[in-house]
Amino acid sequence: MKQLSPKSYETPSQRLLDSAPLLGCRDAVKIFKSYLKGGFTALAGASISIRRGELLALIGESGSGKTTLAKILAGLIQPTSGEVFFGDKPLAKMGSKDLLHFRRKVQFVPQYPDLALDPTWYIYDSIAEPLRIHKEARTREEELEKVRSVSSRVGLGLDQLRRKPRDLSGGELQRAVLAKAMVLSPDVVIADEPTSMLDPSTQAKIVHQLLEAKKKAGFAVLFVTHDLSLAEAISNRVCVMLGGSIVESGAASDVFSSPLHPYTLSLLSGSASGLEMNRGTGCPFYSQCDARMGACSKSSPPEFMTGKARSVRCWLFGQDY
Amino acid sequence: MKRFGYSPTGVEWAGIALILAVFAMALLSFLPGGCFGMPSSIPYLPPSPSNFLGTNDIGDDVLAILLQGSRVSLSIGLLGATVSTLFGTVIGVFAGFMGGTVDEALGSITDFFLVVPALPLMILLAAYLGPSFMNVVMVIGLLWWPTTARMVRARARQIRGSPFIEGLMGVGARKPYIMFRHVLPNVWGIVLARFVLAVSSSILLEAGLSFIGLGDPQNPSWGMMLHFAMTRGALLHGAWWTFVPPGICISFSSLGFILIGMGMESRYRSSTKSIGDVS
Amino acid sequence: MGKIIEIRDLCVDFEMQQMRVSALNGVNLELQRGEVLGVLGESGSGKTVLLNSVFRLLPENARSSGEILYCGNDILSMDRKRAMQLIGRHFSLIPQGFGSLNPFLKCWLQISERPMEHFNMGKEEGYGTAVRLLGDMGIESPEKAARSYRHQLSGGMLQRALVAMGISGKSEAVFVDEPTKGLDERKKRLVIDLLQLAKQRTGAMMIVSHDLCFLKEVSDRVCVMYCGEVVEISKTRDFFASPKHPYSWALLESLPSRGLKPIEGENPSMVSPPPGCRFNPRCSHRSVRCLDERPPLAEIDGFKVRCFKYV
Repeated sequence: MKQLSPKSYETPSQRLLDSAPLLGCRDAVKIFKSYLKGGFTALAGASISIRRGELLALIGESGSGKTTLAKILAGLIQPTSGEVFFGDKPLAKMGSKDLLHFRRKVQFVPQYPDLALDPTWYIYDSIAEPLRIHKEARTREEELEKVRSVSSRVGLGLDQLRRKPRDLSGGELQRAVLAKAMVLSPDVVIADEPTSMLDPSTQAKIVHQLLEAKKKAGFAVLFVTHDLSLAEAISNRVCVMLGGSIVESGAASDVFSSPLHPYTLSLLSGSASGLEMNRGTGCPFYSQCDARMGACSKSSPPEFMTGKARSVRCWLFGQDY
Repeated sequence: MKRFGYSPTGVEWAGIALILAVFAMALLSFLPGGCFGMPSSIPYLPPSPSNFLGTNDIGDDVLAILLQGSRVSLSIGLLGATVSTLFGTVIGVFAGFMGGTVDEALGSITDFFLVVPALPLMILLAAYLGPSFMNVVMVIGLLWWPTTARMVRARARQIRGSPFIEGLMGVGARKPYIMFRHVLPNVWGIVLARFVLAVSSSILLEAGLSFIGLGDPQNPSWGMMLHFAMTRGALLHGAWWTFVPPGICISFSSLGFILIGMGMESRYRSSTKSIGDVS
Repeated sequence: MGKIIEIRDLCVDFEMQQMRVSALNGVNLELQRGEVLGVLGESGSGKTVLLNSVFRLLPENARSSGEILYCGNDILSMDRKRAMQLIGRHFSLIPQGFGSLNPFLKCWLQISERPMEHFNMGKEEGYGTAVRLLGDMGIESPEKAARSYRHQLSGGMLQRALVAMGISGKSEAVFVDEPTKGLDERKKRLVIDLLQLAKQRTGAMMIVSHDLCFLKEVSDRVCVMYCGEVVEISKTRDFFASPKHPYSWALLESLPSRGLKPIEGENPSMVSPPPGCRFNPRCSHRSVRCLDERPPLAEIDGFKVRCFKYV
């Protein structure tokens, strides 16, 4: 395989940052109903937008709501309030035709590759399935051609396509899942921790294949991860999630070189302790923040723009303080 | 990785042998009459070279009737099992996959049929509908589906929650499509095992119904043979050859299906254990 | 420094239908008193099989040869009952994942199960031990946690309970199976702290993991496994500064922080491993010799490496 430097994908051009968002959501709130605990707020007003062709990393720890946000963007679950838009249309107001278009153009890659494909189906059929659902391939030959080209792009041979999921390794399965997501030539691929269960060398390989495919096909990627170094290595833009909202976002180079939010700072310096986050009112990082003020415990800070395409949710950056 | 090669265990071999024997009996019954022993004018003739299993109260050859009966018992067993499994699978898949209100409604119907005392209801139904082959099949089908439905539902729910179904929804697949192409193949193992077990219980149920005289008199089954032996005084005559062979046939054929069904069920459990591991 | 466990020429094969899968091929390894040994390997490298052989947990179809010596006794060939007793009294295991906690037993029963089973600890004392341990690990109300069931505890609490299971009784060595699989940084930090605590209460530790960054922080020595073989044993500091075996080198390069370079080629199949050096199809330093001759595990000033480059 050709060695390629991930850094070549970085530095978003100005044009990219200015372009209209392709997929996103505004003030998405998701409360999961639970009979025992009354309800669990997984998302507390998160806004995010993905632009054409970029690689946006969504960083967050477990419990920060990043998977929920990813699923809402993929249209797999409905937000309790707030809206998801694709192009310029809100998802909730789409007709069935537009919705089908959305389903074709936005693809989701789940976290556990071993359960992401039907165990009773052959890998080939699983990859070809989106084509069949959307009637993209008119003949068997066309279907075969498409599946083969997309599979070879992620490094799956015919031998693996003829098997069933239980006969493949975790890495091969994740590649099959990626191939399935790319077979419809989508505009956005939402990958929910696609490599967290994999070995380091397999992770490197799959990330490279994803980046290669992205370069060829030009789709945008929302890469959900808890691995900071991985996010730094591949992303154009970064959103940091904490307690169900996005506390900081901006170009990857800016965020990693000069983090603004105290939480991002603590993540990057590796000084994060094993303590739990604040679940009550106010800033979720309040209980652990070194720079906390009176306002932090009372109300959750709004989004402050500190530069072009760079925002942070922390009272430290409010003009009034 | 372990390949799912089907190599039967000893118990399953025993089951297969028993079932093959029953099928052989059913095949033999198609031979022209008189191959096994001519009807004699003497009732309750003990086993002899001319009548291997003796004769019954009206002097018919017991072996010939036994072979005839195997055909009836087996076909009622298979048909009853088909009806009940079909019913249970459809309801189970539907309830498990749809969830919510549909699940609750179907679930309560299932529970209702589960707690209804089966035998009295069956007797009532059979008596009301009148003795005929199809009625016995229908009665058995109606009463055996709830357990199947529950098991299929549990499995379908599990499948419903796994990421690949979510992924399919994300690609825009419709619900009926997912149910037929993805949920059904994944519950297939359970359905097959339940079917085989249902055959065995249908055979037993049919024998029970016939024994108390609610079977179809046109097609005498093994249960019917027991019924006649009971009511027409074979017991008093000590004519054991009229009731021991059908009794053995009933128990061994249902045992055969039970052995295989249980083997399949445990195999199926061990092969799908992993799918529920991840939350 | 004495050796607690010495593994000599351990080979484990699994007999499958019509084939034989070699999971471990001549593993030589020792666990020294007072050290933390990290066993590093990707999935399929045989690291879990190694752990299972020490605990005699291999499945029925496994055929093993070689020796696992503890105080001169071979655990592998010993009578099963005696071996289990020996293992139970001297080694303990911190299992992987919360699935190893029985959902129907209270937490403290599981934490103190080993000392209660092997050291005749009474129930009262077992409960006290569990509470004390959980308290030491920084749980605010250890009594409440000890009396809880699995589903009542948060992730962090469960993580503590797992480690407590490993150190509730005295032991010569604690074995840890994949402690960080799927955890985020914060949880990893917690596990590191907990293992540091565990280290003070036992003779030695062996941690099986595929997480390089994690082993870098906790272990003293690293043993790298590839395709059922030990390919390198080095001090942790030396390993991360200058890995010796080409595989170790490539593995480090594949970390996101070091360039995210994938290793060429595919993971080898365990059914038909490549002849000669098992890494040769993917190695950038291979010579003709590597293709058909298996390199020995050579010891060169302080580290051991299985590569012809150093012979």
